[in-house]
Amino acid sequence: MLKVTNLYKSFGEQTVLNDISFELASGEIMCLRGKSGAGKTTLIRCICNLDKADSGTISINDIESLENGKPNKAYQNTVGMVSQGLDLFPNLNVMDNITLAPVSRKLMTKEEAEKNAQALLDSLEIGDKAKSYPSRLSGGEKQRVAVARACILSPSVLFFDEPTSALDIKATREVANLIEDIASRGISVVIITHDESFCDMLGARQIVIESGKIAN
Amino acid sequence: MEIIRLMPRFLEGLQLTIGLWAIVLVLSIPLAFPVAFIRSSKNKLVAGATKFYIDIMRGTPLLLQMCFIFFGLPEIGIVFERFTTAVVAFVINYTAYFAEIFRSGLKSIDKGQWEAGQMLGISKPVLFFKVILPQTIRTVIPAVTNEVTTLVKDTSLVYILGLGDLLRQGKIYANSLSSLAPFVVVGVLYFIVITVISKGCEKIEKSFNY
Ligand SMILES: Nc1ncnc2c1ncn2[C@@H]1O[C@H](COP(=O)(O)OP(=O)(O)OP(=O)(O)O)[C@@H](O)[C@H]1O
Ligand SMILES: [Mg+2]
Repeated sequence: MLKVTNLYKSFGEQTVLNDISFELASGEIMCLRGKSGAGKTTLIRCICNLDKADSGTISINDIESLENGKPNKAYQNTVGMVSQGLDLFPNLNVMDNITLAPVSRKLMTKEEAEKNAQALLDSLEIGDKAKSYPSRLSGGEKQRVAVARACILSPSVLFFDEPTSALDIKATREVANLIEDIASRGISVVIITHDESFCDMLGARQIVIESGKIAN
Repeated sequence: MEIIRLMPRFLEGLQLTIGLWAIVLVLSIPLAFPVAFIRSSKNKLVAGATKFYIDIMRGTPLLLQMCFIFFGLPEIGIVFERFTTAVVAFVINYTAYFAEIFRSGLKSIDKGQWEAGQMLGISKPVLFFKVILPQTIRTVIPAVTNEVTTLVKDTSLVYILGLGDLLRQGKIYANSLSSLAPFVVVGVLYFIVITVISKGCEKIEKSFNY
């Protein structure tokens, strides 16, 4: 379970997050909405330890995000992110993008990692793209690679920043299926989106951020 | 036909030119990476000192730097042999240029790449060598190619040290034969060398086929 308590974050004079608290059960899907500049990305960056909140606490399954003010490794292993830019490694093929982390962290042998990666790719219906470089993939395919790269580490919570902004209706529906599939494995999913119909498609809980607070 | 008889002399000069070129590259390219890092350091003092070094190297003629090392340093008891002088001067100078190229190359890598690595728990060294460095190398190849070919031509500055590089051989025999032919030979040799090097760099660039 993800637990965010009294989170504050300012950039200079501008208060972006002003006392944010919420909880998310395992396997739950939540949509995070709000106007452009409302602080949605900032919120999930803070939860992922990419930005540092000014105050407040964050924990997943009772493991705190920080340890002596520094990112807690045990916590870090429980969060995954599919960022808006996806940030695939362009110099590595799909397989290496997915296996670099588990192999270099010695979580799996190369053979295990490749087997798991191939299974993930197959379930995402891009099993034939393992040897392709990211630049050769379509937007939707890239996104699925980013999902596979995050999922192979079995995070407890997976964050998506605007996963459908570049997709047509058919591809959006595919992403919705994908997210439901992820959630059915017990992974909690937080999705930043502007797209209300996408939230409805998922039947997900929605929270709206406005002036740094949760408005609903 | 004189020219053909003199070919071994030109090749000797060419050997010195290419030897110096290779030694300078082998030393300055690896050195430039740490310099680029220090130059981007958060510590203002070391970053500033490194910037000062780079600015001096880029803001004064290489010929002057070489004179300084060869004629100036002995005044304070530091004496280098001629060829060593050339190597030291070129390495110090080219390291500065390469460091600036690498620094801007590193800066051009999207910070999302570092963040993705952090999110995936990949250690900084692994991320650097597997992800950041290969991308940096690819982006800097055109600029590096430029420096690498300029270096071939710059080596002719060692005439000031009395070293017999390719151009100096050409000058000597142009004088003694009262002919322009040695210069033509020298020009052709430079051209061949630089063309081969450029083609090599192009090959390397193409090998990054992602
Ligand atoms: N690193 C930063 N430095 C200064 N200001 C920042 C920084 N990051 C974000 N901000 C500011 O914080 C506010 C919230 O930004 P954020 O990216 O979280 O918005 P968002 O809700 O994700 O918007 P969008 O829907 O456009 O992506 C914005 O006003 C932005 O300018
Ligand atoms: Mg955003």
